[in-house]
Amino acid sequence: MRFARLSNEARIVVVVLCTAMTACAPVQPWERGRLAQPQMALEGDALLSAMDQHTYTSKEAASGGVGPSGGGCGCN
Amino acid sequence: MARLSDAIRTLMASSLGLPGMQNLLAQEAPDDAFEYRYTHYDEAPLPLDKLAFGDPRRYEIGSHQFRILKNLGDSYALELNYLHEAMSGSSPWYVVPGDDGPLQVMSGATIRERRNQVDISLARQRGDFTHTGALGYSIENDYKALYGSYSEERESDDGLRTVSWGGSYSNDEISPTDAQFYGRVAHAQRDSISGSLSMTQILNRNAVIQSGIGLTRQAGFLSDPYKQVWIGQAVLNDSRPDQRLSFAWTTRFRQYMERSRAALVLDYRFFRDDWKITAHTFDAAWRQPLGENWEISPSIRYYSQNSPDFYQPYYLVLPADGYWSSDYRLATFGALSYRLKATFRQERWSFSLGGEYYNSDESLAISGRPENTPALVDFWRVTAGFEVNF
Repeated sequence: MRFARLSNEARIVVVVLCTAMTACAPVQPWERGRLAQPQMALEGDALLSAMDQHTYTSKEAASGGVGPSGGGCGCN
Repeated sequence: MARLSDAIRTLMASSLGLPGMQNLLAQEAPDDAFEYRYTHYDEAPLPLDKLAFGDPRRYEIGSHQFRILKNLGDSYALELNYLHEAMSGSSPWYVVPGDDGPLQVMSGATIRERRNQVDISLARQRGDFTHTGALGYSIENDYKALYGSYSEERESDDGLRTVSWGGSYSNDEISPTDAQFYGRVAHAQRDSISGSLSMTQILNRNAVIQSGIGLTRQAGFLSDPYKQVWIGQAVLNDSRPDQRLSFAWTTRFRQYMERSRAALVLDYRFFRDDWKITAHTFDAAWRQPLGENWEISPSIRYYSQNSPDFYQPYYLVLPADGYWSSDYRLATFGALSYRLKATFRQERWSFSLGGEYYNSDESLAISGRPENTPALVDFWRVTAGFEVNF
C-alpha cells in the first residue's frame, strides 16, 4: 500500500510508529525497572478499563481496541 | 515471597493490560489477587426545551465488579470476573419535528433492569508463547450473550517486543419486553466475530509503545428494538442493515518522566466501518506519584464520530433503501471527558477513587453533517475499588 493512498489518519499513525521505532535502544532486563512502575501500565486498573470500554461502547458508535472483544449487552 | 514463574507474571501482565510485557520486566508481581470495584453512573436529564413528551430523567446505573486471579502451578493461571448492574431510568424512543428543531420522545415509565455477567479465562505458558482461552456469559431480562475468545502472545528473542493475536465470537439473543404491545420483534439473534493483532515494543528504558488492529464482523438483527423513527407522520421501528464490518486501529504510548517520576499517557484509536461511520478517540493522562504510596492521575478524553447515511432525527419521506434510525448514539457528535483518579498503594493492597464528567455536543465533532440531535447525552461517574494480593 503506497503511503500516498492512505487516509490522513493512517498516515499520521504510520509516521508516529516509524518515529517511535527509530527511538528504539537496547534495554537490558535490569534497566526495565521504570517500565514496571504502576504508572507506566498500558491498561492500568483492569476492572476500571473494562468498565470504561463498556460505558463508551454503549453510548458511542465506535468499539474495539487492543485484544479480543467480549460479549454484548442490551444497553439502551 | 517465592519468585513467580514467567507464566504467572505473563498473566498478571495481561490482567494489567500489558500483553506479554511482564515477561520483559525485571520486577516481580503478586501471586494471587482479589479485586472489587463499584461504579455509579448518572445521566443528566433531557432539557425540557428538547422534550416532546415522556419522562426526561435518563439512565442511572450501579455496577459491582469482582475479579479473582489464581495461579495453578508453574504454567497455568485462572481468572474469574463477575459483574452485576442495576439500571433504571427512561430511554430515548423517537424524535418528532418541533417549531424550533427536533424534539425527543422519551419512554414514559421508568425502565428497571438488572444484568449479570461472568467470564472465566485460563492462561498457559509454553516457552516463549502464552495461550489464553476465555468464556463468558451475560444475561438480563431481555438479552443474553454467550462469548468466547482465544489469544496467543510471543516474546521476541531480545525480550523487547511482544506480538499478540487473537479472535473472539459472540452470540447474542434479544427478546424485547412488551414486544406484542409495541409491535417489536419478539425474538432475534446476532453474531459477532472479531480478530486482533498487536505489537508491544520497549523503545528505551523510559518508553513503551503498543499498536494493534482489530476487525469485527457482525451479522443478524443489528437494529435497536426499543427505538423508533418518525417518518412522515408514521412511527416505524428502527431499521438498520443486517451486517456490519468494522476496523479499529489503536496505538498507546507511555513515557516515564525522570524528574517527576510521572508517566505521560497518550492513546489514539481510529475506527471505520462499512456503515460509513468514522470515529477518532484521543486519550491523554498524567500519572503522578506523590510520595511512596499515592498516585494522582488527571486525564482527558476526546471522541468524535460522524453519522451513517441511514441516520436522521426524523424523516419526511420513507427512505428507499429500507434503512432508518434516530438513535442518538449514531448521530454526528463529539465528546469531552474530564477524569480524575487517586490511588493509594501498600505492598499487598491498594485503594482507588475516581470521577468523570462526560459532555457530548454536535459542535465538538471533527466532521459530519449537522443534524440537531436533541438527545445527546451528558453523564458523570464516580468509582471506588480495592485490590488485595496474596
